[in-house]
Amino acid sequence: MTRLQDTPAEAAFRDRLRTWLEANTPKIGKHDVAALKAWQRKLHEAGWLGLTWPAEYGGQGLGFREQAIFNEEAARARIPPNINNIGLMIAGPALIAVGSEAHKKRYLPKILSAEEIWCQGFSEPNAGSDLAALQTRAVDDGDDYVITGQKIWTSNSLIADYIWLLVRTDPNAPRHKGITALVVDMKSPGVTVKPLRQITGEAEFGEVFFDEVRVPKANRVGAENDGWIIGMKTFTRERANLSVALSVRLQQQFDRLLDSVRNRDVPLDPQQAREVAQAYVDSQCLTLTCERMADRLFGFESSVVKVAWAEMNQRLQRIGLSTLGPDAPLLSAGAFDQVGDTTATFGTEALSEGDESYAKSWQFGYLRARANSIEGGTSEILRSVIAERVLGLPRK
Amino acid sequence: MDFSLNEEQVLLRDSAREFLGEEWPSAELRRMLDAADGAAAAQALWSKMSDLGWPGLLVSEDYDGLGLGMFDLAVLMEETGAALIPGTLHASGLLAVSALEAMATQESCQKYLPDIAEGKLKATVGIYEPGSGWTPMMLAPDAGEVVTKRYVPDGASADLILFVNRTGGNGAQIAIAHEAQVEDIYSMDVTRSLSQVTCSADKLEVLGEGTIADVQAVIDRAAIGLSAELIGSSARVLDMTVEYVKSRKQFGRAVGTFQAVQHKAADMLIGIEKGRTGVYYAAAVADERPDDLARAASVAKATANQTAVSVGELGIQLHGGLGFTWEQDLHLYLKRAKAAEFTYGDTKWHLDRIAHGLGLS
Repeated sequence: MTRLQDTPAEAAFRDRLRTWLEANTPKIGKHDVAALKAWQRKLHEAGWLGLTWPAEYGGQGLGFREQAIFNEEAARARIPPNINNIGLMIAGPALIAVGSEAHKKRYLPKILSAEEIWCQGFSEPNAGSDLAALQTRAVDDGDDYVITGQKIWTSNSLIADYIWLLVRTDPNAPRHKGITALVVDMKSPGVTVKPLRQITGEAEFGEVFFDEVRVPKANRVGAENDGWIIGMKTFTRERANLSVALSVRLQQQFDRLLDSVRNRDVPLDPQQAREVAQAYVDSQCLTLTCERMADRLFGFESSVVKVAWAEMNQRLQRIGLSTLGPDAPLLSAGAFDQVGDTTATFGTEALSEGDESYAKSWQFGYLRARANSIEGGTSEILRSVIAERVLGLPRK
Repeated sequence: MDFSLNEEQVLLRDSAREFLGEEWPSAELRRMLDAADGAAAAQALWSKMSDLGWPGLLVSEDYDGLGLGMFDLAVLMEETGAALIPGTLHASGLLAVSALEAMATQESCQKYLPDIAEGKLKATVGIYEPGSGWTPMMLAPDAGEVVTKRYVPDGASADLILFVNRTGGNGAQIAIAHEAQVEDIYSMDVTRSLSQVTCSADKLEVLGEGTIADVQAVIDRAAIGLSAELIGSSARVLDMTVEYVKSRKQFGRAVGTFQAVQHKAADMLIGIEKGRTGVYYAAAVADERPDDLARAASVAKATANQTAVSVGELGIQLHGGLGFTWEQDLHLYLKRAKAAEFTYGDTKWHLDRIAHGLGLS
């Protein structure tokens, strides 16, 4: 038995993929929506997306091993980010788990082809970590729900065609029991989106406002008032998929750190060299932990990887910034202006040539990484999840 | 990558856990430490482990061993680490076996390995010298009339003491130290005995030659085994801690309901999962890709050092005052972790080796 080497079938898959990526990987700026959509469609048409999704909905019906190989090769080839990452990592897997046959047939193929971009509407101004406090109302009106309220921190909302939404359908029920999951067309009358500028100057998130938006009941996923369970399933999938994607980013970030160090005129002092070595150790262990725990990541154990990744990436960015010496705080002129006028950006730090220098910089990385321990579950909430759900500590 | 345990490994793990639960519970460990017949407890455990074939797990089948690999040994050593067994298995079944197989002649292997595999012969290896640090190139190239080896594991109870010496340049040799003077040195880790061993140069019986790289590879394999023990002992500390904070009540509720406690417990698990990955990875590299052994061993040892010490400290913290008592076993785990941290390279040494390998220094 060999543990480090691919099986012959895996090796063939890897070879085919590597050859294809070498021939086809484009250079796309991270704000070029049309080019990014075209790239995702090309990936899909070549059979490299939805690797673990069922074949009848456009997926490849393969296993986690192939997905892991894809991630490794994607990192190696430095491919552009998936523009439809929310659809691919969150909405799609959630629909596969809980959606009706009609929903799966209708939505999944277009998620893969990037014909329809998705976002996720869970968080609200008063419902962050305490998601069950959400107040966006859906009032029953014949064949429709009428929705009024506000979502926040909605990645990709500025370019999305659909939103995977949690709403309150029964305000009188206990709070976990009055929530329903819906698919909502972002072009529906009454939906408005405002960019939310973040500390990097970019606006990769938006605020989404619903003013008496009519949504057909046919767009409901699961039963009415069953949305909490569905939301939780979405979360475990989000964290599992995030873990996998993050391990790719970590490799890219570490490679970038090495490049940055090797480009210095002055060698690192021993303490800095040790910090970089520590980053190597941790990124190696974390990436491999994702593979080792692959079959457990759809459960609560994904929180283990998510917490570790967030802190690892934050440390990595700090180290990267510190390698710049006295220049560490300096920005290129107009850096914030470059990104201020953002119409669409993406929750990714994957880099491709043609990006603005600021978006490639350690300053940007350092600032963006502050969100890592907040988005997708704060590290505080996730540590409680690990303690209670994995270790079995009592809740009260 | 495939880090899943196969059927035999699951069986090995489960049977080892059951065996050690019966044969080496805390009371037995305490008997070894405190009782007048303490050595008898250790010897009784050794005989039973020998019946299971553990001393010969790594020994190739040519020499009547089980012919298994480092990954299998790592799976076993997680369990032996959890039970805090004494150091004989590590010294004889890992360190001595690796050193002999790497450097001794076939004839010498034939002479000693079958008895070591059977557990009839308890062997150990002295490598480090006063002032050599953890770097084999720092061993004295020409030892002079008397050779002194420090930090020799289980020297006092060993039947066969081997010395690994530098012979000048990159050359190295393995030799039996006959008529050696064995002096106990006392480690913080009271569960493991250490010796300083002195031998006249003319009493060394050379069993084979090798290189400093061979010596480092032997140390790296031992470091991986020790890392596996540390991850196993860390996992046991976490189990003990989880049980304790579930039952201990203050302010009318289990202390495990407090977030400040929960979050420390979560950090313990995060460290253990990362550390276990490092160990399995390095063990797989030792078996399948020995050219990459140095860096992989450093990944495993650096991570295991950090995890074991931090888990050991947090375990005491979360047990409150009870954790600070001699009677509770937690201090034994922390002392094991702390002593192991400075064995076969501390964290700094391993990070410096990685930095050097990455071209950073």
